[in-house]
Amino acid sequence: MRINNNIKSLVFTLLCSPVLAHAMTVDELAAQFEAYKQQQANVLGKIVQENTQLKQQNQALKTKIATTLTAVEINTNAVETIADNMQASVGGWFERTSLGAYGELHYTNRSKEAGDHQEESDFHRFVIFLGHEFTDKLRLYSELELEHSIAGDGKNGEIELEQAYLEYDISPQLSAKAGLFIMPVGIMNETHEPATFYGVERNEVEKRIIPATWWEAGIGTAYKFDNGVSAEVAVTTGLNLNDDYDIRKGRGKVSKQTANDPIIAARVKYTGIPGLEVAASILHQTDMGQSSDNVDIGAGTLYEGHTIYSHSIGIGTFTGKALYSHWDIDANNSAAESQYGWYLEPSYKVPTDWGDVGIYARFQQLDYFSGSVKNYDIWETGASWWLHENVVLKANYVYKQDTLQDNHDENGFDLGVGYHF
Amino acid sequence: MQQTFGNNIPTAQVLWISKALKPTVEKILQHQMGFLRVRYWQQDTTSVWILEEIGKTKPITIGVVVQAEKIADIKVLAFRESRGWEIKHEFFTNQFKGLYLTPDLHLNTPIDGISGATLSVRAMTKISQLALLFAQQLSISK
Repeated sequence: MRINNNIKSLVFTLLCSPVLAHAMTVDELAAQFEAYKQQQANVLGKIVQENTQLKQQNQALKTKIATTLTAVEINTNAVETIADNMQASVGGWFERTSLGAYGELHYTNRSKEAGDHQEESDFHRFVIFLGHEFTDKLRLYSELELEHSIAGDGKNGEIELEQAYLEYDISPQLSAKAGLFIMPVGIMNETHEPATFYGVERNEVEKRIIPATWWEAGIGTAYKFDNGVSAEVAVTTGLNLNDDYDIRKGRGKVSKQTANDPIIAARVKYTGIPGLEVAASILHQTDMGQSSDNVDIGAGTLYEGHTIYSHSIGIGTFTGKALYSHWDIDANNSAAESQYGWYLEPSYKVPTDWGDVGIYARFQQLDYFSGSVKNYDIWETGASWWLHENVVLKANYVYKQDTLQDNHDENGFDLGVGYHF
Repeated sequence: MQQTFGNNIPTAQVLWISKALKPTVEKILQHQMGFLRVRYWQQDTTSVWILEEIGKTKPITIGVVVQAEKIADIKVLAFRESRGWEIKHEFFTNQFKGLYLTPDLHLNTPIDGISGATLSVRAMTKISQLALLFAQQLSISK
């Protein structure tokens, strides 16, 4: 394009400039034209040369890009192969071992009607879970707990082995377990990580009547039907009540525990509708005193039933819990023969930009025996704030009414922080 | 896979989690991401994702079919926990069908959980959110 323009310009000059045409001879003009042609040929040569060089560079770049793409593909494949191998690798024991934990710190502030006032801070529970998968079908679960921070002679706390059992999958529906495990009864007995329940302290009904957390040594089997029904049966060591007929104190915790009279436990649970759980348990022990001559007591049966229902309403989720539990004991004390408790707990949880926030109310009624008859109505309300799905801050107010004795009511508030992973 | 694509199962592809996408993935997971890329199968607007998330202590493997940025199907492929097995069944998974991701990364309808299986339910919910997020990335890259 540039050459054409120059030629046009020259011809125009030659034809249209009478001054130049008059001043130059034809030979001079021819020479000048030849010189000009040579000059243009040189320019053209340079352009062709540059074009060739550019083509070569372009080809080199194309080759380089292709090489780079091949290298990227090789690297990608290598990374994927390494990642796949890492995922598939099951060589080391640690790759089949899992670790978990939970903990809860409480502050309790109580005023009694009689005038006593108590303020207490307690790192109530510090728990480590350890699990190991020996094979795809055989696994170990264990839970070690430190209660009240310090254990030892004269200290408030204790170290407890709460779970240590082996579980084997006979089929996808049927499993069997053996070892030290939590009894299949109640809501909180098996699920009690702090972020999973409302209230700083666990509810009194399950604590006193069931008595949660309750574990024994034994064997068990569970079957899960496809329609959401599951059934569980276990034979385990049993409670050992003394003459105060206190069920909670009867837990042996599998520590050189007398094992004359076992418990047969059965539970049926239905979770076939999302948000709904309905469960019933029966546990029977032939002698609640482990055949001891020191206490006049016979067989005992625990009946427990509960329902949980959760459903989204508005921006949040409503959950209602109801539980009833009743020990029927053949005791030489009519007041200790029937020990029971029930509670109702509605709650509402909403998601916020700063984590979920939930409020709840709980009413509990207890009638149990511990040296004498105890009967309480407990009113409770409070809130939980989940900073993370596994980290919770809690606050609640409690009013505990002693329905048998005047001037023994108490009220106060609790603050707590809990976590699990 | 055959249920979704019939006999013409597309070749598996890989979505690498970019630096820009990582914070969003971790916001859904509420913990650090343990993977660099995810494998998927895609045909037209349908994609299948196979993802894993820890329930209580063990990973649960879940397959999610996303169609036009909505969940068409979700299935537990491997369940290793001792509790929370109910999430395997259709009476639970049916409520995920048709759900989509809101701009704030939640499912458009809350999932009704299972008492005692909170952690398994949470794992499945997170995986469904991730599958929807990843399927969105395919649309964006087009």
